[in-house]
Amino acid sequence: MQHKLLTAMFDRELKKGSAELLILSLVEQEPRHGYDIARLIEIRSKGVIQFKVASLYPLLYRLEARGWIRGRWVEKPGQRRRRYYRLTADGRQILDAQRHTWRAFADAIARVTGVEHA
Amino acid sequence: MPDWKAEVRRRIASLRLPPVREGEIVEELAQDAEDRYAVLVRGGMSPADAEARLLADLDQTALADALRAVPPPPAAPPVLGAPRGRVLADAWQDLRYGLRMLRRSPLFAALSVITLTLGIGASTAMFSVVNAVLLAPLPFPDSDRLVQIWDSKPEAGWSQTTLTHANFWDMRDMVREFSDVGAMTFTTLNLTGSGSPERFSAAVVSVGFLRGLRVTPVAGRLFADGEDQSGHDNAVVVLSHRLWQSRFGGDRAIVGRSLVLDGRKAMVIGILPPGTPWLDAGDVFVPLVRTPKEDRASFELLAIGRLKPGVLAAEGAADLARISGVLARQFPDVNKGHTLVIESSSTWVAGDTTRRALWILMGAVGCLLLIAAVNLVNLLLAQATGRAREVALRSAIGAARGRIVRQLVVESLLLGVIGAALGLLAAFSIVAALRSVDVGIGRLAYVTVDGRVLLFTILVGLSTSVATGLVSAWQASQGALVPALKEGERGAVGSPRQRRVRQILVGAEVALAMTLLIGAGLLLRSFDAVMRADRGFQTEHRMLVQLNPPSSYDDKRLWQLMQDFMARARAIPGVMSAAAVSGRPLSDSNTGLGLAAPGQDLAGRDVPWASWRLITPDYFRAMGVPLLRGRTFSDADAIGEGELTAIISERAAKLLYPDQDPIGRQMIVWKGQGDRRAQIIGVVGNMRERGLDVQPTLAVYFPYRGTGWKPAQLVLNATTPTAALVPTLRAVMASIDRDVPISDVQTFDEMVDASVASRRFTMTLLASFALLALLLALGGIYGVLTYNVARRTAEIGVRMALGAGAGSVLLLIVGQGLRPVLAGVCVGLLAAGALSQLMTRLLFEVTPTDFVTYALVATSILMASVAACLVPARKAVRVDVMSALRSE
Repeated sequence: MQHKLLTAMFDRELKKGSAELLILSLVEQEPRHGYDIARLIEIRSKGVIQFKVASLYPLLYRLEARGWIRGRWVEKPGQRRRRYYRLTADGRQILDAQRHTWRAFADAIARVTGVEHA
Repeated sequence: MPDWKAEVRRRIASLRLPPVREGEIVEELAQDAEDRYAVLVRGGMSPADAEARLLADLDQTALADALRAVPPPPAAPPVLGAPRGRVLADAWQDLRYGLRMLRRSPLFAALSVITLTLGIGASTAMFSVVNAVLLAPLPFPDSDRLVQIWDSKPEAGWSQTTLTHANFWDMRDMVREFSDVGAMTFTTLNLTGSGSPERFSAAVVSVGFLRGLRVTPVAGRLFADGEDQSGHDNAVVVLSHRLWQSRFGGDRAIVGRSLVLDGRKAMVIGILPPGTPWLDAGDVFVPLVRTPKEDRASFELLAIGRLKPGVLAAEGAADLARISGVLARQFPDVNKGHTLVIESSSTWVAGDTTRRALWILMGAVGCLLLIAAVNLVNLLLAQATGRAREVALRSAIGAARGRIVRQLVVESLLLGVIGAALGLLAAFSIVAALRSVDVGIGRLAYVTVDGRVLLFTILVGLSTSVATGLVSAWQASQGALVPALKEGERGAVGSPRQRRVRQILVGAEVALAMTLLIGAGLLLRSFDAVMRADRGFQTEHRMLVQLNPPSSYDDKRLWQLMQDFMARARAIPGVMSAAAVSGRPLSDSNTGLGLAAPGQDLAGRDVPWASWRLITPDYFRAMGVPLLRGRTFSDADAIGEGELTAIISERAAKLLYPDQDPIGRQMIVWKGQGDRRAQIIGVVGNMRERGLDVQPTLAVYFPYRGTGWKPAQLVLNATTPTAALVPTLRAVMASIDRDVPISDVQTFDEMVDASVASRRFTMTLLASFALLALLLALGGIYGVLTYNVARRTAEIGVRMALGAGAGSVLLLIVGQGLRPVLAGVCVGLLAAGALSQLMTRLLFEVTPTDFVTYALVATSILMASVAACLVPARKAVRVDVMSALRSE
C-alpha cells in the first residue's frame, strides 16, 4: 500500500520537474551521453522509471537551452562521435536547490504519512 | 534493422530546423534508438517486436511537440581563425585557446606568471606606500587651506624655526587672512591616583590648533575660547584616540570625569578621532595657556594656520610679513630680521628627504616592472617563434592577421590577470609587513590596499599585458608565410630580425637592473659610511632611561632626587657610571643658541648656531667622550649661582678661540637672544649629536643643577644586560620616590638603529628591488639562451660532427649570450651615472658616480650573466651528436 502510494506520488512529481533532478544528478560526476543517462535511470530505479527517446532528448535540450547542462560532440578512438552532456556551474546551483527541495518534500511526506525514508 | 536516421528525420521534418541542428538531433536520437534496439534484441526480443516497440516510443506528435517547446540552442562557436565571427564568441574562443596553450607549456606559463607576480606585486606594494604617505589627503577638511607657520631669519640662515610664545600670541591677535592660527608644543605628564604613576606624552595646544584643523571629536568637545587664557578654567584635557582605546577601553563615559595629571585635577572634555599628523602628537592634549608676560627668546612653538576661504597662500604670506614688520619695530632686539613664513600642509606627513626617497623607490619598482614586462615579451616571443608554423598555417587558411594578433594579446592578458591577482596577494603581505616597521615615516602605519591601489594594480596589469601582447604579436606576425610553413618545427631561432629584437630586450633588462643595482649599491655604501662615521661617543654597554618627576618638583627637590638615584644606581654591580642630560643624543628635538666670543666682530656674518645641553658632572665619562682641556663640572657648578660656567666642544673652541687656549675665557651665549656671558671651563671631543649623517654640531654644555629641567635623561654605562638592569632601576626609584616613573628605556645601539631606521628602510627596499631585477634579468638571459640552444640542437650536432670541440661550442654559446649583456652593462653605467644625481641627497660620503660601486656592480652582473649562460651552454656541449643529426 505504502509503496504504491509513493509511486503514484512519484509519477506526479515526475511531471512537475523531478526528471530534471534525475538528469542533473547523473551528469554531476562525469559527462554522459543520452542513452547512458536513460539506461542509468532505468537501472538505478530498478525499472520503476523509464525514459523514452521522445521525452528524454527534448528534456535534455531544454536543460541545455537553460544553460544548466552543456552538450558536446566527443570523438573517441574507434567509436562514432557521441554527444556528451555535463553539468554547468549554473546547473550545479539548480541541482543543489532541487535536491534541497526534494529532501524537504520527502521529509514532509514522511512526517505526514509515517512512511520511513526509502 | 530499420534506418533510424530516416525515421527520426521524418518525424521532426515539420519543425523546419536549421540543417545543422536537424542533422545533430537526427544523429543523436538515431544513435540512442540503435542502442536500445541492440539491447532489446540481445535480451531475447524478436527484431520485429523490438522495432515496433521503439517506433511506438518515437511517437511523432509527442516528439515534435516536445522539441518545438525547446528554445533554440546557443549558436555554435565558429571555426578557429575564421575571418568573421561574433565578437563575444571569438573572445571566448581565444580565451579557451589561450588557456590550452598555457596548459600545454607549463614551464613557460609558470615563468611568465612568476615574472608578472614579482613586477606587479612589488609595484603595487610600493604604490600603496606612496598612496598612503604622499597622495592620500590629510584627515582634515579643506586641508589645502591649512599651512604651517614658521619663523625665519634669512640672514642667519634659519629657514624654518619654531615660534616664541610672545610672537605666537601677538601674531594671533594681528592676523587678518587666517580664520584660525594655533600653536603646539610638547611635554610629559604623570597620571597619578590609581596604582603606580603612569607617564603620558602631552601635546600642549592653543584653542586655535584643533579648531583650525577642523577636527570633529569622537565624543565630547574640543577646547573652547578662553580655555587657553589665564584666569579661565584651564583644567581640561582632550584624549587622543589611541589613549582612549588603550587606557580607557573606548568608554565614552570617560568624558566629564576627572584625571589627576601632575597632581592637578583635569576634566576630560573630549576624545579625538584617530589619524596622523597632529592627532597622534600626544597621548593627551592640554591647553597652552597664555600668560601675561610671555617669553620672547625661546623658540618653542609649532604653529599652524587656516586661511580664510578664498584667500590665496601668497596673501596669507603677505599678511604674516606685515605682522613680522610690526613685531620687528616693536621688539627690534629679538625680532629684527625675522620673518614669519608659511609652508604648505602637504609636507606634514613627509619631508623632502622622505618624499625623494619614496619617489626613487617608486621609480625603482617602475624599472622592475619594466624588466618584468621585457621578460614577458621575450618569453612570449620565444613561444611565438616556436608557433610560427601554427600562425603561418592559420594565416594560410584564411585567419585575419588581426585575429591572430588578438589571440596573442588574449594570451598575455590571461597571464596579466593571473599575475595581477597573485601580485595583489603578494602586495597584501608586503604591506602588512611594512605597516609594522617604525622608520619615522609618517602614515606608514596607515598603509592599506585601498580602491586606488586596486585600480593601480588593474591598470598596471592590463597595460603590461596588453603592451607585451601587442609587441610580441606584432613581432610574430612579421614573419613571412611560406618560409615559416616550410621551416616546420625546427624553425631555427626565428628570423635574424626577431633574434635581434630579443637581444635588444635582454640588453635593456640588463641596463635597467644595472641602474637599480648601482642605486642600491650607493645607498649601501652610504649606510656603511654612516655606521662607520666617528660618532664621538661610545655605544657599547650604554643605555638611557627617562626620569619623569611631576612638574610640581622644584629644582632643589629634582636635584636631590637625581643625586640620590644616580648614587644608588652607581652602587648596582656592573654599573660604571651614571649621569643626567637634558636631551638625548640623536633625538629629533634639539635646543640651540647663538654663540660668539666677546668683542668678536661678526662683520655681518651669521651668528654661529650651537646646540646646548644641561649635564651632570659624570656625563662625559658615561658617554665615553674625551675631556680634551680644562675640567668638567663639579657638584658645586650650578646655573643661577654666581658666574655661568660652560664646557664647549672642540669645534666650538676652534671657532671662538682659533689660536688660543679657551679655558678661563668668556663667551657670549644666546647671542642675539639676550646675550649672556659664560666662562669656558673645559673642552670636550666633538659628537654627532643631531644624527650620524650630520656633521658634528657646535656644542655648549651647562650645569644641570639649578635648572629643574624635566624630564631628565639618565645615561648609564653598565656591563649588566639591560633587561636585568631595568627592574633593579625601577625598584631603586620606587624606594626613593613612588611618584616618579621611569620610562623610554633604550640602549645606545637601539638609539643608533632608530636614528638610521629610515635610511635603512630606503636602502633595504631599493636593494630588494634591485636584487629582484637582477634575478629577472638573469632569468631573461637564461631563458633566451636555453631556448636558442634547444632550437639549435641540430646545428650544434653538425658542428660537433664536423669536429668542433666542446670548448669552442661552449665559447660560441656563452659569447652569444654575453653580447647583449655587455651592451646592457654599458648603457646601464651611463643611465646610472645620470640618474644617481637624483639621489645625492640620500648619499653620505659617497659620490653619485662612486667608482667602487660602479665597478663592483658591473663585475657582479657580468659574472652572474656568465653563470646564467653556462647552464644552457653546457647543455649544448652535451648534445648527443647522433640523435641531433637523426632529427635533421
